Amino acid sequence: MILRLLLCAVLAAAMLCPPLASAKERVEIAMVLWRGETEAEKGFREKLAASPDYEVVITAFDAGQSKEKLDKILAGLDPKRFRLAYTFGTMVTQAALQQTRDIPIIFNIVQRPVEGKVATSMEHPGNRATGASNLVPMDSAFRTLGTLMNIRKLGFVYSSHDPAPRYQLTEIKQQQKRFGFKTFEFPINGKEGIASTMKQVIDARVDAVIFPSDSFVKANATRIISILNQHRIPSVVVIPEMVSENRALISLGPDYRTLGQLAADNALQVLKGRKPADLPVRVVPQLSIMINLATADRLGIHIPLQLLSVATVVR
Amino acid sequence: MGTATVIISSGAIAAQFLSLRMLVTAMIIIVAGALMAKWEGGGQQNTLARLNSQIFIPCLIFAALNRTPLALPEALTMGAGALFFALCSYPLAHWWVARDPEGDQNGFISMLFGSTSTILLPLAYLLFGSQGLAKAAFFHLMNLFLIYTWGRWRAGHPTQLTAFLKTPTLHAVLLALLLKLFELELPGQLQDLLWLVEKGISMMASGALPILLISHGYALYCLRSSGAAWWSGAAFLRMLWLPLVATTLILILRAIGLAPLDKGYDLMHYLDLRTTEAILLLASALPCTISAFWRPGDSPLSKRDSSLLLSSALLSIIAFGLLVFIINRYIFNA
Repeated sequence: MILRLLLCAVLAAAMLCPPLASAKERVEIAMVLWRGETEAEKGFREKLAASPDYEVVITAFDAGQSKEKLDKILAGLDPKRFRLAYTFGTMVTQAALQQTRDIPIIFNIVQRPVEGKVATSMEHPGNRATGASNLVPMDSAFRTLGTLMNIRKLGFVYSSHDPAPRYQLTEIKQQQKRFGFKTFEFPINGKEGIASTMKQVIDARVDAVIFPSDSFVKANATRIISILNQHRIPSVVVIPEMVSENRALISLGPDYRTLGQLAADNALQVLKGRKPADLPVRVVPQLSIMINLATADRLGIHIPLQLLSVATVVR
Repeated sequence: MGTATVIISSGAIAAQFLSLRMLVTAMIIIVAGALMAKWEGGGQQNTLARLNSQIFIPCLIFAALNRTPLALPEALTMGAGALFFALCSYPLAHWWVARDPEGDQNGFISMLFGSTSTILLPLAYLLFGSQGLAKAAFFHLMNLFLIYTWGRWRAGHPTQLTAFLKTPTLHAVLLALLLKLFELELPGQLQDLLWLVEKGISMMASGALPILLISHGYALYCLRSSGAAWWSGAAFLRMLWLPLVATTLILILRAIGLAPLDKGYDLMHYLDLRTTEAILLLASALPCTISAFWRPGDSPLSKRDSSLLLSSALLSIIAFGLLVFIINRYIFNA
């Protein structure tokens, strides 16, 4: 009888207690954003949620494109509470590195981590930050553009407050001679400067406009791109959402959800004890093309088969 | 304000529809060309041919090459492709000429070379844009060089290297390459002027597409009215043989590492290589050349050669349709 009771007690205990191997460690991550959640953050969350080792609790802090708010968020990050911080974009990552001390940083959508002094090199970031980069070689972007049309005057529209576009501008200028065009810069100084800058773009009679990976431009893309479409000026972007959501003509860039998953891979490594300095900055295996066919029709642009065959199209 | 529905899908299906639309449009223009020839008695053939070779093709190629970055290996690959096609067609050409010991040897030219100027260039431009045309231009040039030299010699005519050197297409390619090589920092006003000239050439180039296809229709009618038969077994054989040659060449290029299948990070590099393959496949569906038919002073084509040309021109239209489907399905999405 005693033996039976003991056996029942052991069985009940085994059923009530979860197995030791599946015990997940609870960790908290701070997600510091500039313009709300994007597909990149969805990918990041998905990958972490699937982790067998960690129960990840993510607290999102959205700066709402305000530098003051960002500073407040960063000042309030508690390294004892958050095991690491996820940052979106060059500006947020640079600010996080300057304004926080001990917390490891997993960045995402930082196009030029080395030029932006976020990492010393792509292979060995050498800092307390690592993550995923949405690097798009300008050579590729211009080859895409050259497949679609002949250009001589290329407009480069960017936010004057964001540091990231300046690194891209340097590369664009290096490609000018090879592709036979001249770049015209159009910095936008805040929301109130959009109308006047776009007027300058129209007056300059540029053949096409290329946009950098710029959070300000993305946040105001519907307004900016509709002006360009009205004046039949093609827009080339590196953020795919600007094609599907804001009707830009074509994007050549990495898939944001995949980037989020890659950043999450690095985050898991850091949680397991590896140093961010030793974890290479991740890039997607290949860039993808997205084309808005309605915009192409409106602009009277014929899309060659080779681009169409490998692209995702938006109607 | 209502929100528009956004449908996101794969571009591969859109590409198939687009290519079908292009081919149907091209066929309609070719038929229109044949009808024009019928109504006008085919007398405008020479004028159209001259318009093509002297103005439209050079403008089309200049406009495409001028602002398309093209690496030397790609240009060499296309040139080597044209040579490979001609060499592999040689046994077929030899068999064709040997079957009629009494006849002339113009059949060598017809069998060895594809008619690049009539249909490859406009199709390459329509389907693959400037990038495709720039590649097709090098195939075309090599083809022309071989026709004027080896082809004419093999057919028993004197070679015409100087005539090749006088070809406006060659001048257009050289001028475009020179402009690219020595891109000078011109003063602003001069740059504006050059841009206007370029725009004008581009506009003229866009006129080349229908004219080239109309010319193709003209040639078909002229051949038919000269008594050529619709069907030629040799043309059918050639139309089966050349796509196999092109496929072999593509596999060789992939095997020796000149056209790796790895997409890598830069998708545009991958697409560049695949476009080269697509142009080679497209070129394999070309009808026999009618250049021999055009050369003044040469003996006119025999009825047998005319039938070969007519039949191959018609078969090529079917082959183009099939190959474009294969290109979309198996080349770009390999």
